[in-house]
Amino acid sequence: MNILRIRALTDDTRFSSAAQRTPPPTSPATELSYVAEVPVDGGEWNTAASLRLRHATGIDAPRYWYYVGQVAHASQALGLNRRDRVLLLGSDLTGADEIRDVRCELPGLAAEACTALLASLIQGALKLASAPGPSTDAVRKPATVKTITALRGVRENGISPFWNGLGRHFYDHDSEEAIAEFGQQWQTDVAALLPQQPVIVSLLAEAAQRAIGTAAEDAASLRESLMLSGFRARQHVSIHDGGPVYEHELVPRHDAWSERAIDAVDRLVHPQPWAVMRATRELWIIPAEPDSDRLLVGRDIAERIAANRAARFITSPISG
Amino acid sequence: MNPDLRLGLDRYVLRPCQPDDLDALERFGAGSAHGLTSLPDNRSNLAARIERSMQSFATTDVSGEEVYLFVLDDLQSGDVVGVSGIAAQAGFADRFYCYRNEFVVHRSQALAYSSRIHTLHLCHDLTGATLLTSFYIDRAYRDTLAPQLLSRARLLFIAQHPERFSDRIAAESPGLADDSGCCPFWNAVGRRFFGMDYPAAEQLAGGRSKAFIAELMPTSPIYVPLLPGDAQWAIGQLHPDAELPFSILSSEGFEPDTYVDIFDGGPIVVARLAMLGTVSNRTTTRVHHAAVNPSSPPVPVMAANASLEGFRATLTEATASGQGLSLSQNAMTSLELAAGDHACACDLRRLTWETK
Repeated sequence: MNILRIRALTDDTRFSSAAQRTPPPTSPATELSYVAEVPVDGGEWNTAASLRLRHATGIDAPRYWYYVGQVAHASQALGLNRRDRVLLLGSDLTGADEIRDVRCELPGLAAEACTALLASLIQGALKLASAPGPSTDAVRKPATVKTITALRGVRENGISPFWNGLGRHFYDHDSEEAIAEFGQQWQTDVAALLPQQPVIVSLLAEAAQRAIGTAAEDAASLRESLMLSGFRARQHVSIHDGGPVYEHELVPRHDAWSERAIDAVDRLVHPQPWAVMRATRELWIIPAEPDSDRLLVGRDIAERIAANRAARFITSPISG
Repeated sequence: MNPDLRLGLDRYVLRPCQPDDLDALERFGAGSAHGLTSLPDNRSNLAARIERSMQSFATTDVSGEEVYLFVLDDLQSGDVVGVSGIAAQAGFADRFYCYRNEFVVHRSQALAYSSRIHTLHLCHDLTGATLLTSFYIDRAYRDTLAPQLLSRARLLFIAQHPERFSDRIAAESPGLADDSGCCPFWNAVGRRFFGMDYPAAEQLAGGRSKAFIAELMPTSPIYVPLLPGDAQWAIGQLHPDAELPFSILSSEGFEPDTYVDIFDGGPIVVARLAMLGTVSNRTTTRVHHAAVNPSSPPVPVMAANASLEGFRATLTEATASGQGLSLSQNAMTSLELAAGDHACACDLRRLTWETK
């Protein structure tokens, strides 16, 4: 059955890790976990993938990224025309929502299926976070339109060449170990030690230069799912491994959601993924097609979401 | 250990460079390591440099553009054995670029960590300062008093003509480089922006001032820990051939820790004129012929006349008397002085010496 349930978890202990001695500097209201669930027999649901969505990152504890800028210097007389990248430490993305810890929890899932699943989770979570109703107040303020997520940067023999070539000269520890020891707060604290002036990229070791904005191979599925969800890498990279930061701009549209009744039909002509919700904090992603003020879905799906002719759903096309 | 200050007295005379000195200058240029003396490497350019120097000594219309060249005569052999120069204003009509060493301490209380980071800042601090340049001494004379006179007498010249110079004096010293002119600092910094060896970049600039190249360098500070080890090591390090002139300037009281050259990382020393040993210990007075039996024993001095084009300086012995300074007939002749003229002198025993 082609249906996913996306839920926001309020009481979330799934991510507490023994390694994180310092509690994350977020209150529960500003960070939620989202799960994508697949139906199993007996009307139950199994978790297939999960992520965390932090609202307005950097507001309570400053966050830092490198902006990858460019300087050009040219001399006609010398026949010289060079462009150099520069890294500028800053908090440009402060206030954006941040997706972290995206995980596929179905072992052995093929890469393509995993990509599709993660894309659905990400799109569903963003839909849910932007859905109308009192449930969204704690999740996303209407004015917030940007969502970011940092992809893991490349490693060579388990070590980040980016950190090795840059950060380590300013904080002589392994960044992975430091994150394990201090938790996410480390990303805030270490910035005070990092270069406050622009760093000219061509002065870095070659391996560090190559790592700027390059995602690790094992982040390929996530990268693909982000692309499918409308995220794009722009000018920012992570301070600890140079991994690219993908950004998504959501233009709030009042007409994105509409209230509809659902009709069960035998066959859909042009099914598209739709987000459909009735309860707060959860929605389904299902193949459906609109028919004037109603939404047509397959019979098995209608049954699963307990749709009848009287029930009204809040609906929105995933691509809308 | 102090050198024997009596060896070499009345033997060397410093004077303005003349067209006849062209052969000697050409010899010095060929004998010095790559780019070491800031002397041009061809005869016509050298001749032009001498011409420019003579104009500088002669002019009364001082602009700051003047470049003075001095040579050292060995009276015993009759040879010219060294050259040294002064540029009135560094970066005249342009800007003088160098890197300024700075240290920033980064600290994170939460991580209980702090680090002292060495940075290099591209700056124009020394634009307009007077530059000591073009030092070269014949190798056979390195361990004599000749290089001391050749270097330090320039300070007497500056002190006697302050209207021609800045009171801030600087001198560049060549940094670490191999015989072909490649240097680790350039390889790590300049080469990254120009993609070529330093000699090639110099050639490309085609004799224009180094500022021409500097203007193409990035203006943001360089974090030294990000440079390769050999380049870090080269910052402020001397080319071996520069140790002698550098040690003389250090002895004078020049400060070597603030500035380095943007191309090879060699140290640039700076000082206030009045703080330098030769300048602070000099006296200006009238001169007389020494008496046959002086009442007090003579002392070794560096003495110079007050002339511009006729500038002369030498190492000799003098006796202080009530009327001024008494000099031997030979010294009076070398300095082209007559009794009653003004001269300045500095007691060599009061200077700091660093000799190998």
